Amino acid sequence: MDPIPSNHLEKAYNYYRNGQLSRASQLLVELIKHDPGHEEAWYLLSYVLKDLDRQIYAVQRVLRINPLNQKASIRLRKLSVLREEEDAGETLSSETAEGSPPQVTRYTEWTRDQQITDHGFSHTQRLKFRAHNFWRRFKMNWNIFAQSRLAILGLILVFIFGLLTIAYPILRNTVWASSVYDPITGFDMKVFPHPVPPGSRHLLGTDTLGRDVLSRLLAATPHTFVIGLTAAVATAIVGTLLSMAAAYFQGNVDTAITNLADVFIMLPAPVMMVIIGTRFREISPFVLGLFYGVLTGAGGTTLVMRAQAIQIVSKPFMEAAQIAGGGGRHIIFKHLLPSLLPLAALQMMVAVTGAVVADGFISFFGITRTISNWGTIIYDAFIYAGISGTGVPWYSLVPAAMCFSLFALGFYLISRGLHRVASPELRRR
Amino acid sequence: MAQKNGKTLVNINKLSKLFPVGQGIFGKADSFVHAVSDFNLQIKVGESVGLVGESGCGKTTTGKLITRLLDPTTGNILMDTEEGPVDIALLKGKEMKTFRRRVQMIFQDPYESMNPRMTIFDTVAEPLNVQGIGSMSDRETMVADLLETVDLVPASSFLFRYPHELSGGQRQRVAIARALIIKPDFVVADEPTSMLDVSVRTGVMNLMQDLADQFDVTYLYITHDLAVARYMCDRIGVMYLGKIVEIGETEDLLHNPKHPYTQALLSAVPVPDPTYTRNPIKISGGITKPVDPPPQCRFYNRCPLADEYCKTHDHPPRKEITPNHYVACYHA
Amino acid sequence: MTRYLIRQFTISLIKLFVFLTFMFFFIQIVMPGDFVDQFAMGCDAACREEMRVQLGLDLPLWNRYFHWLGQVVRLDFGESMFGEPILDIFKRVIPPTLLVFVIGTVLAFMIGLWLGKVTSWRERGIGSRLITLGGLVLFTSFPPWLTYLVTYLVTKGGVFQVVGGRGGLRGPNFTGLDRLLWQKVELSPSEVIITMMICVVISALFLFLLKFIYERLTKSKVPTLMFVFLIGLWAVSGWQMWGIDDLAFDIMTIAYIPMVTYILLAFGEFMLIMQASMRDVKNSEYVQIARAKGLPESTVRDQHAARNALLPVLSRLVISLPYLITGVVIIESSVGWPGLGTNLWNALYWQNMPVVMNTLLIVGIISLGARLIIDVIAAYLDPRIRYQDFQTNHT
Repeated sequence: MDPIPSNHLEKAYNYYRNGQLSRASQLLVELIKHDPGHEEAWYLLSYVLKDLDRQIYAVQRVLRINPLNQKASIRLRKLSVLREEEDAGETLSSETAEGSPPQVTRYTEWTRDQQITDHGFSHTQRLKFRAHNFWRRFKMNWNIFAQSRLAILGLILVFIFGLLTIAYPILRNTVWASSVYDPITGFDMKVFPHPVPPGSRHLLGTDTLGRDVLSRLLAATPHTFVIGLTAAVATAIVGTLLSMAAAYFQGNVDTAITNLADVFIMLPAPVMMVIIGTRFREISPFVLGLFYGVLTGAGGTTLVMRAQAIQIVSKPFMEAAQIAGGGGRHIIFKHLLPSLLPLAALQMMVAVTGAVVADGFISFFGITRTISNWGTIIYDAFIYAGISGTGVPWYSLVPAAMCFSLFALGFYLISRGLHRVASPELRRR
Repeated sequence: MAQKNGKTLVNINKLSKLFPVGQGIFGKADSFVHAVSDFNLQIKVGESVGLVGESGCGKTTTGKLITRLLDPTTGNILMDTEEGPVDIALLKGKEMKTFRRRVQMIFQDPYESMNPRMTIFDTVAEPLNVQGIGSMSDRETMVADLLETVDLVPASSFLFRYPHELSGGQRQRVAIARALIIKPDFVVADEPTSMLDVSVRTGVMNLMQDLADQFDVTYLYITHDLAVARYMCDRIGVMYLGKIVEIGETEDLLHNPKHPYTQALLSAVPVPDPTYTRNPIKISGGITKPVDPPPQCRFYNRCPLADEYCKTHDHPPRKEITPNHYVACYHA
Repeated sequence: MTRYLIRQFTISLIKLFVFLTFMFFFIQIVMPGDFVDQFAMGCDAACREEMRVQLGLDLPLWNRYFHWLGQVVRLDFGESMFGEPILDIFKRVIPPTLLVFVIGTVLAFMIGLWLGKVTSWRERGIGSRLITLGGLVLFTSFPPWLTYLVTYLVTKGGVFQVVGGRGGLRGPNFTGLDRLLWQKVELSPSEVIITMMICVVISALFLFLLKFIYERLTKSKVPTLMFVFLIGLWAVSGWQMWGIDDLAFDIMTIAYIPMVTYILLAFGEFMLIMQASMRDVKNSEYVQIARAKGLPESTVRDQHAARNALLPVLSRLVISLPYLITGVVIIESSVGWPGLGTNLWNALYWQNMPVVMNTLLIVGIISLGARLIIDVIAAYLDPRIRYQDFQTNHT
């Protein structure tokens, strides 16, 4: 996990052997502060500490971390005997000395509740276990995810875009007058000549037609979100279904699906979207996203996920599930699907990037007449610059281009984090 | 050991499994690996039978055929039920599910045979869930009881852990618990101890024996280790390239091996006695995949006793040398 | 192996057929109107009808399909709706695309692999992080914007013109070339490009041979950078020998824009795949052993880790290849490079079906062919895959 602990433990052990107990305990405390679940550190601490009660506490902590630690339970038993003797010495009473060693209740703390020993689980207990379990799992996955700082950056980026999505309707209804800030027809009469560079009145300036760039950007954000997310969900569903079918039925079904995916992967998504776009000029971003999602879902996503699904199906635990009597439904929903979901999530994120760029591309070429879109903004910047001959105003071009990059980047970075979560070799710590 | 009332539980007749190899452009197989061929075995209620052989001799395939993870090419496996013997290759749907209640399997690899995303409770309770036995709280009680029986104490500290948090030995105990949770009559154990440390191996073996007595389980014990087989089994069958070449009561077989292959296997087992001497029987070469094997004796290529007779005749039939001791060799 | 190849080849042909059939019907059914509607804006109905009969567009769809299929089987590309033989169009249009796609892919692949190797080896360094982030940003950037940026940075504004548009797509041509220079010669730019490519390929092959022999003899390694530089030098002197150096340089002055854009866009993906692959290999036992032997770190990285990390990259290449091809199409049409992609774009706009279908045929052949080649290379590099092929082929 971290390079420091193992080294510290060794050093502490050496100090302990040389009799430098205080230095050893210093190191161990540091180590435990760093990682409170460090079994060996607690165990060694029980030797290093001088006070008997604290020694017992340290061993108890060991057993709480790992109830099966034989050495620790033996040591606890010994220490308890010592404790008992000490108590007896102090009170000068011989009551406790009945010959038999004291019963060590070594699991009481762990089991929390005496009831559990007779397996009468109450409903709430069970829920608590499940919730605890879920939380533990989530934390484990989160830790893996958060190891990559870029992944966190991605999360932040997407969150910011999420905020921007809500920002436009709010601003339109409160601060921004629609005559000025409408993404298509807006025009600021008080400023002349357009375009104006960024300033206090227009944070990102205006374009050649006098429209506020920031408001156009914000107005286009929901569109992008819809297209990206639809594509992502469609990709995941199609890819998961096809790859599961391939892995479960194998043989001819597998061959058919793989070859179909090979054909789908040849279909160039932007070209297909252009064809769709020329027919349905007013196409909604939802349908366009769906189209893109199905296209890539049946192509690349299926190929990637099928490889993983085949690997999972060939694992012995699938045979074990069969031996348990599980039919197709059980195997698919209890074993195959849960194992494939992380990879599906990863593919979703990649699809967002592709869909958004492809959509921007076709609206850049003016094929779909989507109301407002980052691609359209860039296209307008070029076209009107060409007409007016003033050159491309950077402030109406750069923000939209950056939006593309950052939006796609955000999702892509998240997918990198998810990849770490999804790959089993990292999971097994 | 387990009592024997002489009733046959599983009767395997002329079982064969061929795997196609080689494929033309349009996917037609042109030759076959004879993984199991003409395999006969009777297993009585309550006994433990061992199946010993080198890796690649078809032991595991046999186990998978008996548990119907694979479908046999020819032959039948008759399982004794209340309505008389039933061929398990013909089972479908509901009958199959009932069959799964009676026959379970313990897998070789405790790391891979459990879903890493499922808790120990979910893993062990899976057969109960699938078969719909008991309410949720019943299942929890049953699982916790059984976990304590397989020495995973206290059960509550294991129930909601994940497989990767357990050691190899603990995991194999969980696997045993999973196989026994629905109280099967017959368990196929496919090298359950081969992946474990020697230190925990004996513990697991003892546990399996105790459980056999406690739950009235019949074992088919698949292993490559003669010592393990000797420890666990009442009868041992020695397998070579998909066929049983010799089968007999454990001690009888180990002290009086008749087939040259068995003799060779035994001579490879170290004996902890410096004064012990014996004639080592040498066999050359290694085991090869039986792709479309010739009809002669399967052991012909490596056999020290092979002669012209063996070459010109089919694989030798099985003959009874002493009571309950059968050998398939012309020279025995 | 030959059996495997024959099998794959047959399957590829079937896939190609399915793909083209699907596209044929998809485009014609989905897209509104036809070529005549696009071309003969001012004509009345009767004139249009006459034109349709002339072009064979009055026939039912399936009839046209079988007609086209017959042509493909006879390896006859036929004519564009404008009357130009498609073979001529391809002769003009394919070389520019190959120039950008082949050289761009090879360079992007090498740069990506090298950067991936270096950055994954020192994952925690600031340089590595910056390169990774930079690659990511380029990889996820909007292609038309990137082309603009490259053009802008190189020419300080100016050359870049918007090619696409609502009104019309411009016909492909080489506007940036020096007219005076080309008036003097009989050659077309595409012919010059073919000669250029031949020079590059020959010098690359020859130098590879030399490098191989040299390394065998002296047991030392030629630095990759020097090797690439040498190939470039040889190719350029080849152009000189052919007497096309002026023309070639003139082409390069406009060709490098799509090429650089393509490399910038594509290398990120290779780098990321290589990083992931290296990460898996880095902690494996054989790399540790190589280190324990006391080999220098660079040897461990290049000879032991990178060589094994290459295989997964190759298998991923199969999946990303079609995306690379679409990337070329996008870049070409945003920069106005007169290649296959721009041509396809125009043909789609005019609904010039013969051109569209034959372009897709070419694209399909390139992508399936490249896939087959990658399969063979992977099999050559990895004895396990060779074995697996044998297995899947024989079980």
